[in-house]
Amino acid sequence: MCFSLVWRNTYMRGAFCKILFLLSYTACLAQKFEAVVSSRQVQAGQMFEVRFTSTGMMTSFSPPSFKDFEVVGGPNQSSSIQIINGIINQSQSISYYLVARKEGKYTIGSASANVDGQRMSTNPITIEVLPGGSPSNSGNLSQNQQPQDFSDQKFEADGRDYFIRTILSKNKCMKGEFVIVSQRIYSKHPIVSIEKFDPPSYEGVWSQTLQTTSGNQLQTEVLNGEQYYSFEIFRHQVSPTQAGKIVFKPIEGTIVIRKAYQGKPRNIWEQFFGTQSYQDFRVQVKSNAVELNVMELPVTGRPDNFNGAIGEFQIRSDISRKELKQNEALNLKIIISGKGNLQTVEPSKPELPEGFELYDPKVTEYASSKVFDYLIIPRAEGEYTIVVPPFSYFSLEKKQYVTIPALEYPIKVLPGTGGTTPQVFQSQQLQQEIPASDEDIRYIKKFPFEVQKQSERFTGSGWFWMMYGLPWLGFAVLLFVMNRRKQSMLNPEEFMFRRASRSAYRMLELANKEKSASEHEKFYLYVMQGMQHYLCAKLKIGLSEFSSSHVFEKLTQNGVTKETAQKWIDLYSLAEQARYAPGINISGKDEFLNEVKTILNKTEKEFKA
Amino acid sequence: MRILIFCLVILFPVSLLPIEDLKKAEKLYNEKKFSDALKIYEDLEKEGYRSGPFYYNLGNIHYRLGHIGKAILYYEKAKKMMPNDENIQHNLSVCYTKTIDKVEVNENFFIQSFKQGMIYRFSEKNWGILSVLMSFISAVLLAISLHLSVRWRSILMPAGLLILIVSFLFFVFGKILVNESNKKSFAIVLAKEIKVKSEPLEHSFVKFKLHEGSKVRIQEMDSEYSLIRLPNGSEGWVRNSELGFI
Repeated sequence: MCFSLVWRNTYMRGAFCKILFLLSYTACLAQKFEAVVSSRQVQAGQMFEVRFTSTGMMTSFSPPSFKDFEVVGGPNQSSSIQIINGIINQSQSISYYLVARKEGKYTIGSASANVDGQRMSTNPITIEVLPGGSPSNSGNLSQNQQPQDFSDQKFEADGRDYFIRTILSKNKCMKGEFVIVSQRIYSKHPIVSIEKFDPPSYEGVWSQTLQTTSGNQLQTEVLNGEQYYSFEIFRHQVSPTQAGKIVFKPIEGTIVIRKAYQGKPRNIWEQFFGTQSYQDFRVQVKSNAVELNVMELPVTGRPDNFNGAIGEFQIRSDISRKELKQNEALNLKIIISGKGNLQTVEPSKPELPEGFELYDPKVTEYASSKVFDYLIIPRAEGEYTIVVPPFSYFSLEKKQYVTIPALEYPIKVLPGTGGTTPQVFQSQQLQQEIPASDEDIRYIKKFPFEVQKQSERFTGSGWFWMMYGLPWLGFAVLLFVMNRRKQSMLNPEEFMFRRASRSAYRMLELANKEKSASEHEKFYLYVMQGMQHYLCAKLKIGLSEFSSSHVFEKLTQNGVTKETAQKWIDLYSLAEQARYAPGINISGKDEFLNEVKTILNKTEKEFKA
Repeated sequence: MRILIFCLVILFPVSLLPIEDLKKAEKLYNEKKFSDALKIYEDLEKEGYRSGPFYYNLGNIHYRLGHIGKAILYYEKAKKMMPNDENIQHNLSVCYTKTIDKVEVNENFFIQSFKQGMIYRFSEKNWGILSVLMSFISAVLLAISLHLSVRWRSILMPAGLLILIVSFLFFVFGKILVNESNKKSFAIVLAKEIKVKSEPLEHSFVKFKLHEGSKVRIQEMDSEYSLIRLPNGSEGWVRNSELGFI
C-alpha cells in the first residue's frame, strides 16, 4: 500500500531513482580494495611484498595475520591523488615485506578496512613457497624477450635480490657516545647506477656525514652464504642526544641493476660463444628500520664538571711563559687527545685571577686530538696562579667517570711601563679582537688658553645683570625725559608752574655770585627777577599783571596765608628800594637771600592749586 | 667674531690670568718633569682655576705619571666643557683601553648632539658677554628708533626686539653651561680597587668590585657615600673619597 502511494507521485518517483543512481555511482567509484603480492611463487627465505591498495581514504585498517610468514618490513603507507579530466582519484596503500620460512602453500588472509565509510575486505591470496635456491623468477624474465639496454618496465623480482641494509656499529650505546651508521645497498646483480636517494635524516641524534668507504667502487660481499655486490651510499657518525630507543627510519631510492640471461643464439657466432646477454632494470630499493638502544649515563659518581665527554681521553696543558710584564700576552694551550666523541668535547675555561683578560680560544682539531689555544693578558701586576680546571669523562672501558685533576701555573706579572702596549703573539684573527691601544696620548694644549675661576662665573652673576640692565636703565631715563619734554611742549603754562621754584632758585644762585658792593644793582635785579618769575609762574599771570595788590590777592586765593603773602610784598618792595637807592643798606645780602628762600619754601608748602 | 669676544674677555673685569704659572708648567712638561708640572696645576686648581684646556693638560700630566684614574677624570672634565674636542676623545679612548673593567656609559644621544651642535660653541663667559652685547645693541636700536620717523621706526623697533630675544637666548645658553658644570652626574673610580657595597655602611655586604678608571653614574650622594649605577643596572654604595666627580 505504501509503495503504491509513493509511485503515484511522479516527482517523488524521480527523486528516488536519482538517489538510487547516485548510490550505485559512488559505489562503483570508491569501492576498490585489493591485495596484491609481488610474486605468488617465492623461494623460502626470499622477501616479497604484499600491498593492500584502496581507492579512496582508508581508515581503521586491520591487517591479516601473517602467521606463516615473517614480517621483515612495514607497514609502509603511501597515498596518491590523481586528477584526470576533473575526476579525482585518490588511492592509498599499505605494504608489508614478508619472508616465508618453510616451503609449502600458505594463504594470506583477508585484510579489512573502512574505505570512504564502507567496511571492505580483500580476498585471501595463496602463496606457493618453493624450496630455497630454486629459480623463481625465470618466468618473469622470459617475458622480456627483446634485450634492451635499459627498461622502464617494472621489474617484478623478489626483494632478496637487492636491498638496503642499515648497519650500526653497535646496537647499544651510551647517550653522547659516537655510533657509525652505514647505509649499504646489496644486490645479486651488478649495480649500474644509483639514481635517486634522499639523504636520510635521523631524529634524536647529532649527526655528521662521513666519507663513504666504497668511493666509486662496487664491492663484493658474502652475506648468509650468498655473494652480493655491495655499495655504501651513506655513512654517518651519530651521537644520541636522548636516552631510550632511537629508530632509524628506512630509506628508499632507485637504482639500476643489470641482469644477465641466456638468450637464444641468433647466429653461429652466438651459438659457438654462447649468448651472454643482459638487460638493465630500474628498481626500487628500501631499507629496514633499525633501532638503537640508548642508555642514560649513570648519575652516581658524575662529577660536577662533566660535560659529555665519552671515551678515553688524556689532557695536557702548556703555558708559553711564567714571568711577564703587565699588558703583555701569554698563551695557554690545552690539548685533549684520545678516542671518543672528541668533536664535541670542550674543556672548562681556565680560571684566571681578577685583572686578567681571557680571549676566546683558537681551536685546532687533529685526528685524535684537539688543541685549545687561549690568549691571556694580565692587566695588573703581582703574583698569580692560573688554574686549568679538572677534566672529567665517562670511560667506556671502565664504565665509570674518570677525572683528570686540575693543573696550576704560578705566574709572575712585573709592572709594565706607563705607555707600553700589550704584545700579542698570536694569529691575525685574534689580534683584531684586542682593542687598539698602540697609540699614545696627544700633546697638551699650548698656552695661551682661557682659564677661569669657578667663583667667577659670568652668566647670571651680579656683574652680568648689571651690564645687561645698564642700557635699559639708560633707555628708561631717555623715555622719561622725552615724556617730560613732550608734556612741556603741550602746555607751557603748566610747565612753567612746575619749574617755578627751580627757576627762582637758579636766579637766586646768580644773585648770590654778585654779592660784592660794586655789583649792588645786579644783585637786587637778580633777586627781583627771581621773585617775579616765581610768582608769575606760580600764579599763572603775565608780567603786565604783576602788581602788589594783584599778587597778594592771588596768593591768598591759592591758600597762602596772609602773613606770607604780605612778606612777599614787603621783600619785593625792599629789594626794589635797595636796587635804586644804593645808599640804603639792608641788614645783609646773605640774610636777605635766606629770607627770600624761606618765604619761597613756605609758599611752596602752603600753595594749593 | 672670536677676536671680538677675546677682546671683550680681556676688557671684562676678571682676575689676572696665572700666565706665568701656566707657561712654567708647560715648560716643565716639555722637560718631562711631570710631577713638578702637576704641582703647579694642582695649586692653580685649588685656587679655583679651571677650563677645558686646563683640565686636558692636567689629564695629560696624570697620564704621563701613570695615574690612569685621574687622567680619565680630568679628560672627562675637559670633555664636559669642550665636547667637540677631538684630542680629548682620542686620549680618553687610549686611557680606557688600560682600565680593567670594561664599562661603557653613554649619555642620551639627542641631548649630546644638541649640546655639541650649539651650546658648546662658546664658553659660559662668552655666551654671557654676547648676551650683554646683544642687550646693549637692542637698547640702542630701540632708543634710536624713538627719534626716527614712523617709517624707520617700523623697521628698527622689531629688529631691536628680536635682538633682545636673541640676547636672552644667549643668556639661557650660558646658564645651561653653568648648570651643567655644577651638576655631578658621573664619577670616575680613582682607587685601584673599590668595594661596591649594598648599604652605605662600613661593614656592609660587598656586592661587586670596580677598578681604577671605571666611569659610573651617580644616583644619590650624601656626605660620605654615593650610590652609583653601572650601565648593566647594578647599583651600590661607594665611599666618596674613592671617586672623582666629573
